[in-house]
Amino acid sequence: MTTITHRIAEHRATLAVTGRFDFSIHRDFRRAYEEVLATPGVREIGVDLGKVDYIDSSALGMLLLLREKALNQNVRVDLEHAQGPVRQVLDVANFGRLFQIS
Amino acid sequence: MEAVLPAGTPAGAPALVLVADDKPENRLLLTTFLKREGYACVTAANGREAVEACRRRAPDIILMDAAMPDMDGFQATQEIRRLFPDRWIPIIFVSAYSSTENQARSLSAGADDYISKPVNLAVLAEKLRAMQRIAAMQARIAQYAAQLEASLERSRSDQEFARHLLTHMAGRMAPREELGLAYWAEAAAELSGDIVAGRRGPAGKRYLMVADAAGHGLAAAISVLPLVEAFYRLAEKGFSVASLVSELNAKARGLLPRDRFVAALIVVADESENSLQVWNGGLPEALFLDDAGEVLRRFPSRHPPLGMLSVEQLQLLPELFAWPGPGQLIIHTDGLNEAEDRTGDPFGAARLEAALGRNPPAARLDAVRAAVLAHLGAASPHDDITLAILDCPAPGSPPPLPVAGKQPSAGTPATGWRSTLRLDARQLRTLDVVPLVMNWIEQLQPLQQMRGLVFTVLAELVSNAIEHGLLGLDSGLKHTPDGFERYMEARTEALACLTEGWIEIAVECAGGADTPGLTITVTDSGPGFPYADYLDRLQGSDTLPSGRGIALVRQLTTELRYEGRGNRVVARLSCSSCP
Repeated sequence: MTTITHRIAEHRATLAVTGRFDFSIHRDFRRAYEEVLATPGVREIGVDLGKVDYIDSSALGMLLLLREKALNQNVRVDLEHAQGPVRQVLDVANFGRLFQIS
Repeated sequence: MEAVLPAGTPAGAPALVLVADDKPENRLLLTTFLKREGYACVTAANGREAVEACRRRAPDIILMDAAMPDMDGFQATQEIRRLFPDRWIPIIFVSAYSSTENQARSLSAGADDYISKPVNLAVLAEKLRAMQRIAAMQARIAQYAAQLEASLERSRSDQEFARHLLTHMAGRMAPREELGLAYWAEAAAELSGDIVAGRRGPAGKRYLMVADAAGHGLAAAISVLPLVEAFYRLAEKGFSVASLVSELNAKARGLLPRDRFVAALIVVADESENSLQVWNGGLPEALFLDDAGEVLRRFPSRHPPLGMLSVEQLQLLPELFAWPGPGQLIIHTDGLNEAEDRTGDPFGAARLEAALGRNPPAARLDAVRAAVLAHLGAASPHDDITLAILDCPAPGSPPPLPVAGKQPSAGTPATGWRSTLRLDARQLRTLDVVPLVMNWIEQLQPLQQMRGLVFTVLAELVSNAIEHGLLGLDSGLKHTPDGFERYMEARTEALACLTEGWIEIAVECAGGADTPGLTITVTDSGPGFPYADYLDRLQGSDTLPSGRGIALVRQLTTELRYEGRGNRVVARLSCSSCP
């Protein structure tokens, strides 16, 4: 069961996804980031992928949408704790050209 | 399937209750009570009458006495269930025998509930209400199922249509044997979001694209369609990999929503140079394997998939590789290495390389397919799988002669015209020169069968003019081991820095209407070279590597000569088989 949690500390919000990051969570993911983007004062969003065990192209699509919406508000989006197969998927897609990945 | 009306509530149309009991006083008791509760009633004195009543009109609920003469409640229940296989009518058994054994027997005969005599009317009223609620829910479910079935039917017909379109797109693909290409494609759904497109360009170079649209099924297949169209159009004109990438990316970015993209690998293979130009945006790494199974070069994804970046941000230039001996370029989409068996173990790149390496070239495709299918077992792939293998024959094999271009006939070509085009340094830096010049020529003169010929000659003369005349490169470098790649890098760098100079292309059409002849003159602003006996030396030796291109041009032209200080070359082509 995939879960998405978010917390906000001053200017930085963190969105953490746990489990499978795929099409089935796209509504929840969108709701989560819309809430974060609606919060005044947020300048940065970190998407924590440390506990994601599976990521596919629809997840990449969701991240692209988030990035576009965030850019419209001058909010920066980073991807954090990407490792193993998740990191591999991001690298093959050369997501480093669009996001700071750590 | 008949339309099912949900059981009525007292507020709406009254629900119809069938009361089956052999004793008239029981029937009277129940029907009086039921009418007061707002139900409509119909009665039966035995099982047979109950079944008959159901045949005449299906009740909403049945109160069935267990013990009746001439067919008891158990049998009647079974008959009624058989009468209505698609519709659920709640049946409540009413019985004097309240043992659990009897209750179990009635439930297994098909009853839905059980109430014992003497009947507690308050309890009966609640049981009836509960049954009605369930019946209403059942009716809704049946309705949704019907809607879903209709929707699936429509979706199937949409998929059929999309498949038709895709087949017609794919119909433009050159035959695999002609391309030296073999591939295996396994769709995860009705339609694949993966596509393999290929054809030869006007000078005979092979253009290949393997694309993987995000997701799979109909939506993915639709994402990739417009890109395939553009690929074939640009390949036919002989555009460079950079132009293809630029145009396809722009198309993807313009057409697709922000969260959709198409991973793609584009290859141009030139058999006369034994070179591969590879641009990989988002596919797993492609491999060049020699005939012994050794990986000589890897082409990992160095760019994001098409549609993600804007053209200013996207790097367009391909990677270059000159193959030193015969081999194969192996391209696959991620559905292959991610294909999972029942335990969730993916096939993986290691297994792929092992299967490729231990098989001879001709057997590799089948070997990998067999290995993947064996790995999947009974599981079906959850993403589209594509594996494409392009043959790269031994250097020195004669390259195919230019392919006859297919163009609609435009009548007798006009003769006696001449036109000149001059391109300066800035234009040479930014434009894909040969296809654009070809386009210009074809506006003035339909080329028909001469197209491939003209393209090849023009490409060679123009590239010589640019590389030797303006950039001062020594093409001898091209033919040393890995000199090709260094030469092409030097060319790219030098061209990017070009600020002065020009080339001029003059095309003249002369000769009678029966034997039209095209004369192409290419002049560059460079220093020229001592050409006096150059062509004669070329004649005598085909081992002069730097002249290989010109040697080919000589074969294709009726006349070839240098003029001026060697910065002008004149080529005459005629096509005696032109209509």
